[in-house]
Order: sequence, then structure tokens, then C-alpha cells
Amino acid sequence: MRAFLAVARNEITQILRDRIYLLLLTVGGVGTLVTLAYTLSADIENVRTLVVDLDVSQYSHQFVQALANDRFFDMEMAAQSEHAEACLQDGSARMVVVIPTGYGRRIERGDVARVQVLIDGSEPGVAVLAEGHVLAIAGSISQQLVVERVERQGAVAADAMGSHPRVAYNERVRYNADLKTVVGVVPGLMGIVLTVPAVGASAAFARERERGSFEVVVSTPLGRWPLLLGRVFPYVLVGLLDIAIFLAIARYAFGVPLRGGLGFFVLLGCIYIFATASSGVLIAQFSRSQHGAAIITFELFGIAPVYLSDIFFPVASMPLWLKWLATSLPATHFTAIARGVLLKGVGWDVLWPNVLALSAMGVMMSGLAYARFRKRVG
Amino acid sequence: MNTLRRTTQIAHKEFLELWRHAGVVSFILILPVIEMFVLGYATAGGINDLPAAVVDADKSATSRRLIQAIHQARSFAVVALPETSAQAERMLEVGQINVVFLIPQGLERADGDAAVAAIIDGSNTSVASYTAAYAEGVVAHFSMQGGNGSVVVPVDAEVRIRYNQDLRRENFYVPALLGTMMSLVVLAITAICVVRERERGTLEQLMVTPVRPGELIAGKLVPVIVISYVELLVMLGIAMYVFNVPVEGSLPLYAGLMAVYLLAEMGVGILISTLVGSQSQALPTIFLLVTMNGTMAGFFTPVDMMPLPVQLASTFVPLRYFVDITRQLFAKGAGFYELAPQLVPLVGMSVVLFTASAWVLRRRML
Repeated sequence: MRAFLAVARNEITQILRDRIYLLLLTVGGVGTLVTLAYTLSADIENVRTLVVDLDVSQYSHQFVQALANDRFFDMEMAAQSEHAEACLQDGSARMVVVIPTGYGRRIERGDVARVQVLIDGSEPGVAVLAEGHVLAIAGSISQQLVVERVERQGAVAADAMGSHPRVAYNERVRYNADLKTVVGVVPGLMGIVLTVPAVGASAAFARERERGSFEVVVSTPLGRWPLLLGRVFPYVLVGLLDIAIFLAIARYAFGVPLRGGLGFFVLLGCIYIFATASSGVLIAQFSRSQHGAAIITFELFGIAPVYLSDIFFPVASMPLWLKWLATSLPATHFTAIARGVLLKGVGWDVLWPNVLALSAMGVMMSGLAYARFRKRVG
Repeated sequence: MNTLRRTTQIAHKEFLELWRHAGVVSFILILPVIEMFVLGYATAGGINDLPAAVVDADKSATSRRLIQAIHQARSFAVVALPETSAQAERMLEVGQINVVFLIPQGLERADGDAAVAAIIDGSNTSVASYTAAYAEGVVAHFSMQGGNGSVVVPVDAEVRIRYNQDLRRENFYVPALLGTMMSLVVLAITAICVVRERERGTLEQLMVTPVRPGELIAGKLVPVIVISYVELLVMLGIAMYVFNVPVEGSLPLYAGLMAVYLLAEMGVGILISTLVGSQSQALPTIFLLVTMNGTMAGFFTPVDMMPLPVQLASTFVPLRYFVDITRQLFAKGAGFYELAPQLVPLVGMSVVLFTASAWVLRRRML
């Protein structure tokens, strides 16, 4: 225990002495992630839409009005459809709606009146939502027209509707009722900010080897476990500091709720940092140079999770081998934990598989690092 | 003539130097390839098979058809049919499913009053908004063509998607990654070439040789340019032939536009190299910068939907214009004139950045 504390104290002194390093570990990581969260915090709305009304009737006005009332669209009228298509090409519009001549007449006649919609698909995320919104508008106008028709013409028209069940739809969104992007993204980004300590731990080992002070360490009676854990421990502390800062910012700047227990979250955060930091230390055992170890650690735990830990891209839609890869990343489990505790307010009973996986990874990685770690020079 | 000879000599020396550090260099070149494979497969196609549960309180032929319709929709896979909505919500809480459809009793008999409800897990926003759009679509579609199909819908929206008909996500992300990874390669290789010389103090030795500063800079940048284009070729090949990302525009034009971008980014690389002390500081700085730049360049969300301060900041990020150029040229086949709005600021930036960096480098040397 004394050996452990001595090594930890040495490491803390090292961190504190290197101001720039300390700054990078705390402000650098958190600052980056806050900027990222802020950049991604905008919700998709005000999609620029050009409307060409060739019909100019009471019915086409109704459709245009419905588009104008939807905050999702930022609507503008255009005279010709050729011009509108050019706007789609040069990106000054993302959607073009053309209401053809005869639209109103067809409705009055009882035919299907078709509105032509062109959507720029080069941004699939925006396109899919635009499609959803415009279809919903067409649906609600249809429903309205049918109701009016039934009221006007009575039972005859109602009969024409057939016996088929018209199905209404309503939706409820749980855990993030307003579908605020930032609320969904921030818990995921937390897992990434918490890899900063892992990068630090990994670099700490490599630094010692590079500087040659490792030879001094070898000549001391310190055991391998104190040397390993004593070195990792300060970075768990740094991680705790990061959690505190980031939680506060998430809460007060971005309005991310904390529905579960704070202590519970901090505990799981420590387990996560333990898992990533021991992986970082293991990597450092293989790497010759300081920045090599730091970069690989950063890549594995800072970049790969961006794609694979379910933050931006759903793991459920990935091919099987990527699902496996995603499951083997600590960050994937921490994303589930952070979402669970912060947004859903769930506890052990739900999150135990993730906690178990993280603990197993931590134990395994530190075990491997221990096995690989030699008090030997050369 | 001598200028050319001295420049090629410096370039030759740089190639040898890079070859000697094949470890770091190959790491920097392989990393983008790995990332492209991971991202490409992670985003391939649309968002498919989101796990869904249906609570069927009606248990009629119609409700069974609705379940079928949900399951057959590309975006959902019905993985469970719990008895009660409490059970379903529990599954939502655990994260086993993304959405629950509640089919009310009397769906078959009702005429317009039966409301199918969808409960969506909003904790993962990007998927949640997709889920909401798809869920509504599936139910609306079922509602419209239900019954005997004799119903005339008054208004129908005929949606056509341009440029990316199947809304494949990789067509959006892979070009952005290509641009972002080019910035990583350029910055990192430039930094290796410049910082190493500074670290060792060999820049002073070069100063006493007849090589002029301009020749030195040019010679140092030749390998960066060559390596960048090779990397571009590899990445393009993967994008086009592994992930079938269409390139509608002209590739020679793209290669030409990349030269402008390279100039700007090399300027940034030189500036970073002169600001930081050592290589172990340069590379983490570059990684951080690339991550930030990529996000601000619209990797995840379109730039014009970001908060205004970020939009303003991103006008000073060369990568933003390059990602835009890449996407437009790939997806829409944009030509020279259509790309002018991106090209003009990029040219301006490359002139400013490159001159500034050359000036800084010269001042350090003389």
C-alpha cells in the first residue's frame, strides 16, 4: 500500500509540474467536447424549401399554408419549377414542392391530387425527415378534406370511403420529450471525454521509457502491481475531475438532466476509466514511443467510439462483425450507462450487463498489462 | 536550373527521411484506410432493422396485417410482441428496443377513431428522429392503402429523392471522411518534415548551404504533395469500389481543386509546426484539430444548421470548403462554376495561409 501511494504521489507530482500537460488533461479534453456538443446542438429545422404554386387556388393555398406553419421548413415561393430545380442543384434549397395546375380541380372532382416533391438526398439525415414532414402534411390535409366532404355530402360520401379502418396515429417520445439533439449527444460524448485520462496514463509509461528513468525504477524494490496501479490511480482522479466539470456543463449549459443517482454515475465512471486506462497502459507496454502509445490509445478510445459507440450511428443497423467490434469497445457500454443514468434514471437492475462488461474489461486489461509488464531493461 | 536541382535534392532528402520513419508515416497513412472501412460499414445503407416491439390489444386480422407491415418496413424489425404496455416500456428502458407500437382494441371495427400509438426512445436523438419519421410513415401508409384499396386519397405527395435516391448514409459520410482524412495526412506529414528538422537543430545546417529558403520549402513540400495524392487515390478507390459511393463529377477537376486545398492545409501544418516545440506535441495537437475541424466542416450535421457562432468560426476552416466541394462534386456532379462559392474563399485562404507560413518559416531560418 505504501509503495502504491508513493508511486501515485510521484505521478501526481509529475502531472502537476507539467502545466501544459495538466491543462491538456482537464481543459483541453473538456473544452473540445463542449465545443463539439455545442456544434452539434442545433436541431434540424428551417430546411430551405421552394414552393412553386402553379394552381393558385384555395386548395393550393391550404397546402402552402400548412408548409409555412411547419417550423421544420423555411419556405419561399418561386415562380417557375425550372428555377427551383436549379436551386436544388446549387444547394440553395433542399426541397422543392410543385403544386401542379389542376390540383384544386382534381380535389373537387374527387380524383387524387398529386403534389410533386423533390428532395436533395445528398444529406440523407435531413432528407428523411423532410420526407416524413411533407408526407405528414399531405396526410393531414387529406384527412381534413375527407371530413369536410363527409360533412357536406353526408352518408353517400362516407359510404364511398369504404369500410376500411382509417388509422390515426399519435406518438410519445420518452426520456427526451422534445427530441433535443444535444440531450442525446452529450451523454455519448462523455464516454469520449473520459478517455483523456487513458491517453495520459498510456503516455506516462511510454514517457518513462523514453526518458530512461525507467532504469531507476527497476532498481527500486517496488513490486509490479504498485508500479502499475499507482501510475493509473492519479488518472482516475483526473477522470473524476473531468466527470465533475462535464456533468456541470451538461447540466447548466446544455440542460441535460440527471435523473439517476449521482454517486452511482460517478462509481460507474470510475469503472469505465479503470477499464480504458488499463487498456492504455497495456498499449504502452507494446509501443516504443510516447506519442505512438498516445495516438493508438486516442484512436482506439477517442475516435473509434465516435463511429461505433451508438452516439451517431445506431449499432443495431450495423453488420454483425461491427456489432461485435462495437460491443468490445468500453465506450459503447459507457454510452448505454450514461444515457441510462442521466436520461432514463435507471439503476443496477438495467445496467448490470454493461457494468459487468466494463469491469471484466478492466480486470482483463490490467491483468494483461501486469503479465506483460517486466521490471527489466532492454 | 540550379533552383530546380536544389529543390529536387531537398525533396529527395525528405523522401529518405520519411522512409526512415516508416513506422509513424505508415501509421498515419493506414489510419485513414481503417477509419474509412469502419465508418463505411457502420453507415452502409439506411438505418435498417431498428428493433421494435408491438403490443397488440386488438388481435384481429387487421392488427396482424399492421404488425406484418411494420416488420416488413425496411427500418424496423419486430423483435417482440409483449402482452402489456408495461412490459414493452420495460424493454424500452433496458434499451432492447427503440420503439413500441401500441395497437388499440377495436382497430378493426373503428372508423377513424382508432389511434395507433408509438412510444419512442428519445435518449438517442439521431435515431429517435429517424424512428419518429419512419414510424409515422409506416402507419400512415398502412392507413391509406388499408381495407380493399378502393379508397381515393384526396391529396398525395409524390416524393422523389434527387442525387441519392436510396438515401444511403455512406454517400454522405464517406466523402466527408475522405476530406477530413486528407487534412490529417497533410498536417501530420508536414509536421513530421518540419518539426523533426527543428527538433534536431539541423535547420541551421541547411542555412549555411547554398539552398535558398524558397527552395527549401518547396523541396520539403514535394513529398507531402506526392503522399497526399497517393493517399487520395487509395481512399477514392475504397470509396468508389468497396462502398459504391457514386462520383458524378469530374475526377481531374477534383484532383485540381485538391491542390488548392493542399496549399491551404500545408500552410496550417507549417504554422502548427513552428508553434509547437516537439513532435510529441505536434501530433496530438493535429489529432485534436482534425477532430474539431471535421465536426465544424459539417461531418455530422450540415453547417448551415449549426449555431451561428460555430458557423462564423467555420468560415475560417479550410476543410469546410473542401468537404463541401467533395460532397457536391460526388453527389451532384457539380462543376467548376457551381463550386465557385466554395472555391473563392478556399483560394483566398490558401494564399494567406501559405504566404504567412512561408514568411514565418523564413524568419525562423534567417
